[in-house]
Amino acid sequence: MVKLTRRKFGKLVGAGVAAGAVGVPTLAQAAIPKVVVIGGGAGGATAARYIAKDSKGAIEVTLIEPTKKYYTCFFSNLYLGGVRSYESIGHTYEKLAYDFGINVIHEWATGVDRDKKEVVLSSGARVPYDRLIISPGIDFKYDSVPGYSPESTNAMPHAWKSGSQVQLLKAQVENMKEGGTFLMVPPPNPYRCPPGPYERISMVAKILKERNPTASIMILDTKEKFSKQGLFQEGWDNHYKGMIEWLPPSVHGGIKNIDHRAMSVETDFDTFTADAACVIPAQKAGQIAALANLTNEAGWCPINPKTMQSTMDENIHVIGDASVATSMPKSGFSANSQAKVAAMAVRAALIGSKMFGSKYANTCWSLIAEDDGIKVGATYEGGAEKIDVVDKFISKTGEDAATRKSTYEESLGWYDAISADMFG
Amino acid sequence: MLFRFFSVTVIFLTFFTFAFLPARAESIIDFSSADIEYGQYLASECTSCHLLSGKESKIPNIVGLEAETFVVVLRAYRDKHLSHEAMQNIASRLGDEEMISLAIYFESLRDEEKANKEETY
Repeated sequence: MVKLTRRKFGKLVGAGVAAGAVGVPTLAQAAIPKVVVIGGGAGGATAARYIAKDSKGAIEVTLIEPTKKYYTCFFSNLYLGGVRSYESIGHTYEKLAYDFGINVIHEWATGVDRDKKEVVLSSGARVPYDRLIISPGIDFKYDSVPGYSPESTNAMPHAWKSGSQVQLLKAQVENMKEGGTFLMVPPPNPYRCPPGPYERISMVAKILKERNPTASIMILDTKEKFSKQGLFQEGWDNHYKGMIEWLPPSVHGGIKNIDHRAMSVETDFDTFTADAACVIPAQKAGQIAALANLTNEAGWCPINPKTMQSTMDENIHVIGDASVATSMPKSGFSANSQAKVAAMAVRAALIGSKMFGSKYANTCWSLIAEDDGIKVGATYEGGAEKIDVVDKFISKTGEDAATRKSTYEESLGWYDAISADMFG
Repeated sequence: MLFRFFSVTVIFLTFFTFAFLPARAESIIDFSSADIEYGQYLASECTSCHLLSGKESKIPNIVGLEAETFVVVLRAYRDKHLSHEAMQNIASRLGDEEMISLAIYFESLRDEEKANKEETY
């Protein structure tokens, strides 16, 4: 199979006019439409790859991603729990560059000039676009948790963007004093990965059961209920009986102050001290979306449900966590799904390729204990007002061990497939 | 165990179908309106979970599958003869045109898969 890179396409075009006028740019080269993608995660990497792959060189694709090795947030909990190695969740961009001819730039995008249709890079360079896809993930509203700030993130990591924060948190949990307390403050809705904090609790409990069985876990939640709650609580009862306590705001009265030096969390009900802690603040779209003036008052980007175009700029698509993609949850699976619809819409707009109906899907797998996996998911369609649920499914309480093991193993297959779908 | 059950079921279904199915040219499944470009677009939904490389995975390989088999299995999910809620949901929103287009697209990858394997020696 010939891998059509941009270089090869350029050569093909050049050969076609070798007999013609020298020094005159070919019509094809001058007219090649340009797509820039900001963010090389589940949304951006997928979008860049699909546009490059399916346009077969007819669109020039640039991907701007500051990190050279991308550690997925999804499955980072499995690393935390000792089920995966750290390196197994890391991915690099050389296949996107070589096999798909994508111009991968490892810089930050610091601004978007929407009038000139240019992305400004941290080096000061400017990259022009005909269509822009922004997939910047999330940033934190630090002050949503009183007393918490970027300076708190070593003592009380959020570890909600994967990378070294997860390694730090794992080391902190593994080195807790005997009989110590692990404390978590999960975020309020909407946030990246609804079941994620509770899968994290499960993985922390798994480590503590193995290494520090008299330790305990306290969850001071910022909401009254959470994703797959019945399933998690059944699983915690089965595997970690008596270890985990979950308090909603109606019981603790709300988080009043966090002191990361004292490792304490003050609520109306009591002040809790921790030996290790994870505080996940409220979230908003990655900052570049706000700098580009694409966000609403809540800090997220409203979109057209059929094309993922920003409602504020038809030349820009926003995908993944940063978008208001209700009814879809903010997840890697959703970002990958939305990227394909955006890629289709961009190709249709730029080179007239076919536009089919906008179909989406999501499945979120969570691991409660070794070989005890659960899932929730749905299929969706781009409706008139929002992305509508078509069908949904969820694991059931009381499922047998074989079903739960199969659910977990399925997630392993998914991870391999989505990684290849994103990075080649 | 569920995976083994699924494999056995697929093999059984395939055998049962082909025991009574005429040859491809006179197949009861009409592939005449299949659109491979449409199949390629629809396949983007499949590749979130099904590896295109055909490498071993806990999720069944569908690359290079015989087109009739592909349609038979999808119909079985749609009609809930095969259990797996996500696949039932996905299959239930695929009409005949979608299923046959997907089928011929994934079948067409069989030669590509072989070519890929030959290149990397």
